[in-house]
Amino acid sequence: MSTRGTRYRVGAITIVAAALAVAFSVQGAEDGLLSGIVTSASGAPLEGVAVSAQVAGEPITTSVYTGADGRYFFPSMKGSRYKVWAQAIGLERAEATADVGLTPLRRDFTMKETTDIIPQLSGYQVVAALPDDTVAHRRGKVLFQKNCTYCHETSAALRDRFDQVGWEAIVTAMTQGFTRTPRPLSPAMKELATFLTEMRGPGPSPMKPQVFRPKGEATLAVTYEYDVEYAQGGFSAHNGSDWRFGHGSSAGGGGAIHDATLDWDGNFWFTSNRASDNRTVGRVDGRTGKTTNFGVPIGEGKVAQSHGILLGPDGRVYFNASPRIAYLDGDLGIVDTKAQRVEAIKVPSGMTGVSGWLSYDGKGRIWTASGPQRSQGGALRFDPKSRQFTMFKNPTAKMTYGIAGDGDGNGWWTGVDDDIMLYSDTNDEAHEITLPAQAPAEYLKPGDFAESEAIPQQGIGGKQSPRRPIADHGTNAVWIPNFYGNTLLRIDTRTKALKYYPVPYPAMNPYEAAVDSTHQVWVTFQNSDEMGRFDPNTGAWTMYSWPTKGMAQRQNHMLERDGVLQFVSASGIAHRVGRMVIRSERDVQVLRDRAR
Amino acid sequence: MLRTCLVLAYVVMLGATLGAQQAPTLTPSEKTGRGIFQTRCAMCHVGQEPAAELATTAERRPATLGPLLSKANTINDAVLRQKIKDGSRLMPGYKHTLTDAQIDQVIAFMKTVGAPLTRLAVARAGE
Repeated sequence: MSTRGTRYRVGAITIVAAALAVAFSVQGAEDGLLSGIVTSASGAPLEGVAVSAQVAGEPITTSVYTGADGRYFFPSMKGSRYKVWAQAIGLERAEATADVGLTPLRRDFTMKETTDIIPQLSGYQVVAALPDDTVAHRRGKVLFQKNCTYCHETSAALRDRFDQVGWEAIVTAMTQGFTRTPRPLSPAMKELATFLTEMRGPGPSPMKPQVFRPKGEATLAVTYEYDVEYAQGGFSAHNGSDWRFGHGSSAGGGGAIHDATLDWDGNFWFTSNRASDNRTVGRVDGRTGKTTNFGVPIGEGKVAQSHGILLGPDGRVYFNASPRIAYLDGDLGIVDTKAQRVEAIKVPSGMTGVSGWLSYDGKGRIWTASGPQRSQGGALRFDPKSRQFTMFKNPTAKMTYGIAGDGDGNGWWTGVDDDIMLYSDTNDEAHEITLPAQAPAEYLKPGDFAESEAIPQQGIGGKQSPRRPIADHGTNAVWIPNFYGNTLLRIDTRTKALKYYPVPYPAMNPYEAAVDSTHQVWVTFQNSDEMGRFDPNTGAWTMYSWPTKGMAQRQNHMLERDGVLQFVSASGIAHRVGRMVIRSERDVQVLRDRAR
Repeated sequence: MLRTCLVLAYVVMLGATLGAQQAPTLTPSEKTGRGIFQTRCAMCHVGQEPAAELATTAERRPATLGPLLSKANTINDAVLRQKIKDGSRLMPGYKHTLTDAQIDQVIAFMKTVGAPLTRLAVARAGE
């Protein structure tokens, strides 16, 4: 189905200027140099330690990692007084102050081991620490993994210790929507509470945590993270940057960041999946960190919500603007990033609306998920030049989730609840590929759960739940992260052949893939503070770390321009956005030479 | 048929809506207590509207599970300290997680809160 839309006149863009309460000062040139070495109490160099720097009161935190020699090198910094701190799993936080100026400055840290590393672990690392030596432990581990990773990382759940009564209160609140009049727990949820009491209760725990830190190439990354102002003003009182407090939290602040992308000028654009009177999407200035709101009005003083966002090949930013549910039945929002102008285009009558996932194909056309949640879904293709929409209806699959456009101009999207991949052909017809079930849930052995046992959990039995795919425009590959299956699936766009690759650890919950110009596949993991790079030639994974606890990263937006590879983060929990720049050995060597 | 939409842009006023519920300056101990409060207490004790996404998949979440908190809840430190330690049917007790000193920091922060907290936010990032 294809209908040409008429371009409508965008209404007046009213910019309500207001005096900023915080002035972001630029003190001195942008070429200050800060470096140092991090060692253990015995003097041994420590690799993979995150060293972060922030000007007090400013919303930007820059972080680097120590290499195998324990040395770290910040990129050029503006002259100012910085708070500097070093953190790594297994070590106590160390802090310093640095007055960065024109003379290279050095700050060294000596770090002590910590006694309880579990609060420092990310989600899958916590699951890896849980024992699976008995039937009870395997059942408890799977109940925990499958029930407690949908909304947050499992590390959030096991940060603290509670007794049986406390754990039952938590499981009740989580499974019954924080009701004040809860029902008794089901036997399975009671079993989960008992398991959690054994793992993180008053007594000794059988958990065996491992130390995870970035290694090798992954230590070359530098991250720039920005605290995002709430729609109603103010910032989170804990953004996840101080690991002593555990995960970041935006509870009570009214924030809701879902996805973010980076424009060609280095500014962030993020979506807001919460009812609001002023924010459909927001912009964070890459230089100052200032947050600006943009609303798509829906009447009665309210604005639309949003979910997915995309930097298109034309440099414009596309998003869904949905009136009721953040990820369904919306308009197509388009941002002229230079002019900071937002418009919203209605989908033509007879077509289903724009859902919260977007991508583009090799012909420069925008693809979005579309259709209802509980009956046949679909997809939309939008041509930015002709402003024409084309709709595709799923043959059988219900809700469409992630979507990708391949190099030939075809779409690939996921039937998330049905384990179905869909694609369009040159005749604009949609087809389905049913994904075969894979090995059952991790850690289970035959007989751990009886076949007749009703287990209130998702993802048991080999269900894959394909999430957000990406098409490699330079090859015939479409890559699909499978959330429940903990696999990465490759589909050959020509032959439709399937090949599964396991992710490095169970319970990582892979979410969205990106492919760089060398065909390396970058994958985000919702149950993690890390991102993985997969080499299809060797099958090797390299894990890159964000220094914020509670990232629970779903989206994966990559920007590769002028030889610089960057990835964008968005954390609703920590209420931050950020970018990770993948530096080369040569980049760091330049800084090393300057430090001498 | 496409329909014209009016799109408004707003420039945010940083910190303009804050301050009414919090003391302008906090001691280091009170700030630490605020950090603990943000991560352990705010999800049930600071007023917020139900998240639209949650409302589609779960029972409608009440504005808060527990009462909104302020210095009015700190009249008897000993009672409050024991409540934080022991919890209740709906609230987990923190006696196996927080030290006495940390609980006192939470109480110290609560004493800086003049009116029941309907929002928790700081005026400047990284405060």
